[in-house]
Amino acid sequence: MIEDELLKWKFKYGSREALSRIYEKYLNNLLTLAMALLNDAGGAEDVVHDVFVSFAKSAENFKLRGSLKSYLATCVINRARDRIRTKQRQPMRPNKIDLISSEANEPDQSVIYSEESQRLNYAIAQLPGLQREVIILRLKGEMKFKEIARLQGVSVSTIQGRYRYGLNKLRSILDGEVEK
Amino acid sequence: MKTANDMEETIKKNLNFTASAEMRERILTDVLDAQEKAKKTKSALIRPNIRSIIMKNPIIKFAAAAMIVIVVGIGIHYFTGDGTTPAYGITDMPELFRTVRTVHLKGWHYYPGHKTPDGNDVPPVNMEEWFDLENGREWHTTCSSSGRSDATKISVGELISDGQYRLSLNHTRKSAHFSKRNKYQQMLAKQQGRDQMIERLFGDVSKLDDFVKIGRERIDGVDCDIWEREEIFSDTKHRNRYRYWLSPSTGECKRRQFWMRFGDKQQWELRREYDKIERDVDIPEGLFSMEVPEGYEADNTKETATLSELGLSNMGGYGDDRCSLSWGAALSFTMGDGSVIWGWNSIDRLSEKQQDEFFKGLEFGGLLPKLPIEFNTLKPAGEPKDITYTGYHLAYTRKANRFTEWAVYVPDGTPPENVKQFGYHALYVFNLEHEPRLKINLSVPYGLLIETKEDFDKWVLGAMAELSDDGKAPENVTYESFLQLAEQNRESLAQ
Repeated sequence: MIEDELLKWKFKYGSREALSRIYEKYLNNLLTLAMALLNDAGGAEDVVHDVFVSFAKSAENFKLRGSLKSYLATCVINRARDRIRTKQRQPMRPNKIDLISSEANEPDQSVIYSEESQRLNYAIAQLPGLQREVIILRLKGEMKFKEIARLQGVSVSTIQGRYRYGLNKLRSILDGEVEK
Repeated sequence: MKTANDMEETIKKNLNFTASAEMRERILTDVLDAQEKAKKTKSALIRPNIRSIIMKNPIIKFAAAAMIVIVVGIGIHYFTGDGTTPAYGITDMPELFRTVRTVHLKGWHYYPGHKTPDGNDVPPVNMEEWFDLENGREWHTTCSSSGRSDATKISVGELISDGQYRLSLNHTRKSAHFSKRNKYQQMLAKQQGRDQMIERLFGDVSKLDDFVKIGRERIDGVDCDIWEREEIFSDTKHRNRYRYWLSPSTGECKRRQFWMRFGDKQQWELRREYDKIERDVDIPEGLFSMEVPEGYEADNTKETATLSELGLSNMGGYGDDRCSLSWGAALSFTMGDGSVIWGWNSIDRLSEKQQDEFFKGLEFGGLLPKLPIEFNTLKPAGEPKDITYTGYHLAYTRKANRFTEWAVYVPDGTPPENVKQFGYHALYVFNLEHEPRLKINLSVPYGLLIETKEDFDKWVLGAMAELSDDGKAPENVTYESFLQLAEQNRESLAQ
């Protein structure tokens, strides 16, 4: 946390090293969030790219009292939501699950992941969007329920409910107990 | 069967995606470039305005005027030899290029001091550009570098645009991607193509007056004046230098160079050079062919090309623990009477209020919507700034979840001539419970000049239709209703 405070301060005053360090520190974490939300390697790369580029441009006006990680995670969520909305407006898109399997077969893979990650992501992709967001932000974004509640615009208890239902459903999917 | 705790641990530990080295580099290059550009923009904005310092003091003003007379006199005598004024100077270039059919540029990117990962000097990379201005077509080579200066990787490509479709080729990765523009965007691109080409070649045309003639050189049998401008960024001591070789007799531009000098270094580095600049030459056959070369992998086709979205540029964002703001600007238009129509949006993602609620009960010509950031006023971006443009609601459009406020900004006097060069600067208020410690520096371009009903229908209503779900502009907005509104507002401002 102290390192992040120092990085935030240096970044605000234009340090290239601080920005590089923030990038290296959070790239894979944000990529994981974006992958879990979008289940699309190309889309996840675009989201992470846009988040970092906007962040880089924002130094002059940058003022953040809270956690840098949560802030970046929120940016990823917002961009991913925009992307999902855009995609929903486009007809004839391939099935989400097809996307990930075809990505995995590409020789020039830009996102690297284990079979276990792929299996988990496959299961997470089947959760309703809001439950998926809560689980990912809580477990991979390390955000507090209160922060997620603010982001989704609902009460903390609703978020806790979504988290609980999401985990149960995920467990069922992974244990093969979901009704076909 | 796993417990809930097991499930949490599994996701925490095992759900991990890692960026490949190539992707890491690819994004990092753009991120650091974005930071650098943002710094340069800021530095340029805070440079002391020498003109204003001179104009404030009568003694300095008199001395400066005398100095200009002497320097101009010496300059005319020295550079023309025969005492006559040269036919073409650097400030004539935009007009000369504004009337051409085609432009062809050819030159080099240089990487002085950079080594490839195997330790060799990075060789110069060829660059070439074609503009078919009559048909709105463009062809460019592209070049980007990544990695440290002792292990620089160069990526080259091509961008081909036939007006409607755009094919991006990455020759390094042997990949291809198609995107497309709809009819309105094609018309707009064609309309703005000349200005963009001129900007690409001559940079910020408002700074052409700052060039000075530093010598003469003969290129391909043509005598050229050498024109130079330097800019210094006071915080980093970084310097840029621009040089042009222009024929005063024919108006030909024979060469352009861009130099950089970093920090306290004494050495200037040549970074880019056009050594062939041609006007009105024939386009090579097949230049705009949209064929993906053999061996290249395309991630889509012309049929599935991604559609570019209008008005997604010039966006910004800010977040703290009480708000998550984003704002954006769509197109702006300057009307024949000096007023400005500008489309913009702002959102607070932490707000419980839905966007559509902000637009309820608004009246044509009435108050602007109380969006989280309300861009209520424009000022001229150049000097003088004593004119104020007050914003009134004209209409709003909705495309998916993006609401765009179309406001008209009416000036309280005669706008300065230079708004065409510098455009406008947006002022704003925050309609939030707490005021974020945020300063927004948002420029609003002069945009297209709208002087007739035909232009209004084509461009202004066209833009509104573009950003509407039903593809139609709001019915109550017409050229006549706009003129009436602007007149009423001008009268009330005069009172």
